[in-house]
Amino acid sequence: MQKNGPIALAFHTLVVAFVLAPLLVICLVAFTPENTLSIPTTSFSLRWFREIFVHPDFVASFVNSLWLATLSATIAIALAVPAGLAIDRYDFPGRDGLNALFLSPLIIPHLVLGVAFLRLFALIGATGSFTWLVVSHVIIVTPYVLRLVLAALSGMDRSAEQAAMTLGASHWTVFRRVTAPMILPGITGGWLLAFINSFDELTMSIFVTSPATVTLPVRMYMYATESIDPMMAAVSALMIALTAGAMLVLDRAFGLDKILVGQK
Amino acid sequence: MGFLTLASLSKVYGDHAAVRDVDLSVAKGEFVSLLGPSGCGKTTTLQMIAGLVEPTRGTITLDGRDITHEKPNTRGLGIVFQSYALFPHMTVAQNVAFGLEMRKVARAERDKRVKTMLGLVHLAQLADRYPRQLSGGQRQRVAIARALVIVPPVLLLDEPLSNLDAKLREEMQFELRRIQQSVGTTTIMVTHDQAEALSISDRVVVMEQGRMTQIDAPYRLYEHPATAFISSFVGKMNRLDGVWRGQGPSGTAQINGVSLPCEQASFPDGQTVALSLRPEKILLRAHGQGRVDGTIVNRFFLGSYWLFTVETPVGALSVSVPNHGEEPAGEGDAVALDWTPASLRVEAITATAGAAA
Ligand SMILES: Nc1ncnc2c1ncn2[C@@H]1O[C@H](COP(=O)(O)OP(=O)(O)O)[C@@H](O)[C@H]1O
Ligand SMILES: [Mg+2]
Repeated sequence: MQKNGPIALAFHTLVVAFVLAPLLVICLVAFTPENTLSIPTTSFSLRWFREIFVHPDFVASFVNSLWLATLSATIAIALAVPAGLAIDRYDFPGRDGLNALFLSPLIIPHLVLGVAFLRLFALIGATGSFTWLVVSHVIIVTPYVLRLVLAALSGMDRSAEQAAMTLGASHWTVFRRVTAPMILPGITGGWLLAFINSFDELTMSIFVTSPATVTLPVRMYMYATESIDPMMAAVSALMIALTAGAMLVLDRAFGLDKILVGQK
Repeated sequence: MGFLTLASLSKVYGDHAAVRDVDLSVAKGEFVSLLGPSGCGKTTTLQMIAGLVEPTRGTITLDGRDITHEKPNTRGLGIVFQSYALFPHMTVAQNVAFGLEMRKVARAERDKRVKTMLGLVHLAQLADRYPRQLSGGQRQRVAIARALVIVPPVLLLDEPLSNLDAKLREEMQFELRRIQQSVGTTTIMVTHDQAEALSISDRVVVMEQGRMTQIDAPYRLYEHPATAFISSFVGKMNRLDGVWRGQGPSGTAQINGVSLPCEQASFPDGQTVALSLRPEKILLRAHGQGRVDGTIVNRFFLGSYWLFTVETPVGALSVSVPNHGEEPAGEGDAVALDWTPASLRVEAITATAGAAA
């Protein structure tokens, strides 16, 4: 590994600072005792965190978003792994078409998707249905998962699968015992990416959620259009803490670099 | 009838025949090498035996059973891949146990057999390591143990030593032979390294462009190569073009008017011939006391022997001389070359090849 020169080091520091500074500011603002978005100077207060819990709609939206993201990421994996295997391993008519179809939501603006789903849901009478909200999220997060699964598949040594087969394993056993563990970094990375994408998706969700299925980002957006108070900062701070916590747990359990980069 | 028999085995990719009409019969317990340059179809042949590549034509018979169209997971053969193909997420012991697990061997029995096998390949202490924590030679032994633990009727090895450095490769050659002999498994090894094939095989099969061109014991292959390609591919060989002078068996081979005593042969007068002579079959003598005189232009010391390049009226010849502990003649010295006539082989060159010469 090459050592970073002073300019590169300064550059990296600046990038990290730019990325982290807003998060840090938000987290600080969350502890303000004032009624305005201000950085606390003299005293810290938890009043805005308490405020969240007197808004049960926020809690409900949070739970809703959590379910939505978990379900859509998991379903996306269930779709992307077989699709990835087919695209990577077999040469069949329509292979490129399938690949393009799966990846196309990446290039369609969420605004357009939102309007389209709004129309579709109205037509089929699915407005306000949580199931169809999940469907719409699956569609937008599957490309991310598929990309990571495909990358993992093309990077793996196929002869390990052949070895397993010659040792007596059936196709399913080969997948379960060899292929899946070997592409696990791609699968986990894909799941995380899908989860995060679904969890903070706003543009499309504004169109497709109904009062019963409002997601957290949509709830925050609606709230922020009416009033700006430090409770937004408190919600954000909680989300940051939650994400960081999840990462920490994952890292402790599996090792993040192993999951996301692949074992070396 | 052999234990493993290949009959007219062929594989065609599009309009390219990777393997053509291979016929081979391997006896039980035998160690056979498939030797040939890269791209000659060795891996394809091996993978057809393993069931990983579907043959275009021909049959494969194992112990009297036609396995041509059997799935790889029911053939029960042991395979060591060139890349070793270890399972990176499993420990050494788990890798080796995999085949036994697939065979539903009970836990206790499995552990015992894995332990025995790891002992055989000298990896007992590394049972709990992951493949990434092993050296190349250790990985290779895990791959062998994993293939052998299921007691396969046939062990297939695809260039098992090519990823190792020279010194280790030599050690592992003999190690491989030791392991093979101690378990007595019928083995087919693919290699492009002639020294490797010669040193550890019972028989060597030479492949050229998808075909088998010679099947012989290593020393016979070396002494009696069937084709010009084999004579240059297997060991070092001096090759010279000459003409046959005189009629039939009473004639001799000549180059630039110099007669060269050679093996018993008979060609029509004026036939162009290819002469081949191994460097170690040539003796260095004092100037004027051999069959041709020459001058040493190069001398290389290779430890156990010296290798000379000697410029003579018939062309430049390589000569190897065992190291007897004294310094032999040096560059620029005038010497003579001698050989027994039987060691100089003569072959007719076909019209087209002759015209080019
Ligand atoms: N899947 C394949 N598709 C097309 N051609 C192939 C395939 N596999 C091997 N070949 C060709 O068959 C020939 C023999 O290959 P291979 O058996 O791998 O040679 P070797 O192992 O002797 O180096 C090569 O010319 C190679 O390009
Ligand atoms: Mg090969």
